[in-house]
Amino acid sequence: MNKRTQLLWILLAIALLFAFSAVLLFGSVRIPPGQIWQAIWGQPLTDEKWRVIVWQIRLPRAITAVLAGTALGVSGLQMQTLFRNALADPFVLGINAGASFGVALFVLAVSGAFGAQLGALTWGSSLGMAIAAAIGGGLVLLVVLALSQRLSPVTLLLIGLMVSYITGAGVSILLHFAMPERTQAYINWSFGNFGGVTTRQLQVMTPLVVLPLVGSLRLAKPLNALLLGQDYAQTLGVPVQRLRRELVVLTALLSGTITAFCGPIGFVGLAVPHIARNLFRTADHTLLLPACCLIGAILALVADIIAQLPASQYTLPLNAVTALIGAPIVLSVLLKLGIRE
Amino acid sequence: MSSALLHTQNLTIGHPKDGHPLARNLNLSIERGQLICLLGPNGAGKSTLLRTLNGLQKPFAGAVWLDGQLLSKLDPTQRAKLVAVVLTERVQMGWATVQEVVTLGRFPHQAGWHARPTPTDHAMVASALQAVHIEKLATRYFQELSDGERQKVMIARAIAQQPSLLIMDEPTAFVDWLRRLEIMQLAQRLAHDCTCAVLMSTHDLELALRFADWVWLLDEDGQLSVHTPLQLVDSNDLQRAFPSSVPEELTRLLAHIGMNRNAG
Repeated sequence: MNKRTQLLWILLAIALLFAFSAVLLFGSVRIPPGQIWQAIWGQPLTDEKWRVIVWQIRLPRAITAVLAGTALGVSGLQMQTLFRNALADPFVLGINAGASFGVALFVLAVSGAFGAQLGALTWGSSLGMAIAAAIGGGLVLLVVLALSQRLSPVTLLLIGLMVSYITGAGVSILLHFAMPERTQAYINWSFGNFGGVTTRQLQVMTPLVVLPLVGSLRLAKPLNALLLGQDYAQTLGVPVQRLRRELVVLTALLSGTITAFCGPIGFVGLAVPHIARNLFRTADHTLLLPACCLIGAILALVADIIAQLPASQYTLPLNAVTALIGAPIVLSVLLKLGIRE
Repeated sequence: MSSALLHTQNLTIGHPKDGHPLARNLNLSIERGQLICLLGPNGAGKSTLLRTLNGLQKPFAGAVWLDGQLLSKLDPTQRAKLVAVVLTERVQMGWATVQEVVTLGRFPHQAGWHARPTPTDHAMVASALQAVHIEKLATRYFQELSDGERQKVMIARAIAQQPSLLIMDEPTAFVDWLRRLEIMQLAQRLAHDCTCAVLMSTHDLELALRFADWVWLLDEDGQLSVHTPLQLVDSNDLQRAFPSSVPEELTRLLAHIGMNRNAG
């Protein structure tokens, strides 16, 4: 590992620490930093309400953002390598849309509990929702993967877009027959939010993110071989069909879970791998996968801070913020690709 | 026959979907130490034959035996230790260095998902870089190289795989004349010095006749004939395989090679 890489790891770790602390610090209620520190370590506070805020709202929120950013960053990297397409990510490929459809179907058909907030769901229905989202996302991914053989990168994106429209139409139809307040709840959910996840839901969400992440990290070397293309990978002894299946399942679980709990969040999966590659100047997945975890977490935390508009009464939709951060990065990649061609 | 590194048994090649095979009932064999050039007009099925012989494509019918075992029964890692390929497709590696691309050739020899390159891996990569004369490019980014240099990197990657059989699909296409010569010399050296065999398709008739130990000529009707270069010059098969090519050119080339033979 060279000096530059070491320095980057240190800087990213510090940035993560800062962003995580900032999410704990900012919120509608002003709590002194010292008191937050004491609340975390269970020491007496000037106002005991703050303990509830820190433990029930801000910590879950920060942890959710870390999990979401990590999962989306890794999903994006896997998709970009699998499709050999710099513009692939769960959002672009329509996986999020499929996951949304799964969520809508589950909530409207199985549980009548599309209440004021999705946060009101029980442990069992959270798990059900996450699985429904993963199945929805996985099915879309399988369709896109089947259609993607021998197609150009841009065609692939158009296919993803069309699949998104189709599943979006499905969601619209479901909503059309749903109660108005449920529709509103769905719309709120579709803005994206790291704050809606309760401690109880985190108990479901954490393993659903961490286990697939461990699985993904194990695939670093076959992913490197896959960079050469499927034919070359196969002649190197990579069981390509199995690897593809594994990547489908892992990506569906990662992005499906995040979509179920936080809503569809765009551009994180697309932008993070590009930031990682350009910072570390490598194509090696043994470096890129952990780098995407760190950068994804930082980006999600920063997006959450911006969405909260610190020192104001208002909040922004998280989706809008990630788009504002991510889209310019994607544009710069597109322009660079254009210049090279 | 059993000593052959690779042999085929009534092999018929082609896509089952297309309905009709490209070539039928091929009984070919490759021995270690041989450089074999596969010639033939475009569309005759050269690439399909190469893909079938390395297991990327299933035979239409018949069987391929590699090192005494059925190719289709070998597990992927075992197969990767026996056969390495250089394909025609363009590879995009982003920020990968030449060293990293060549190290990918060590993949089948590295056990486990966490394994770091061993001293053996490093030594093999270094000697592969050396064989292709690209030691100086080791730390360069793959995407910054010219087409010819990239081709050499892909060949080095295949060498690092330590195969018994190296299969290359038109490695001399899209590179300048000097590099073509270099690649042919390298292929010959690999076949003659090491215990491996090299099978490559090419359009470079002259170089193929000069360097190959055997020439496989695949014509448009799916007929495959096997000759030494000298036998090929004496036979009518070349004219039959390339009916559309300029006859005078071919005749002149053959006469030229024939003259060289008489002189030598």
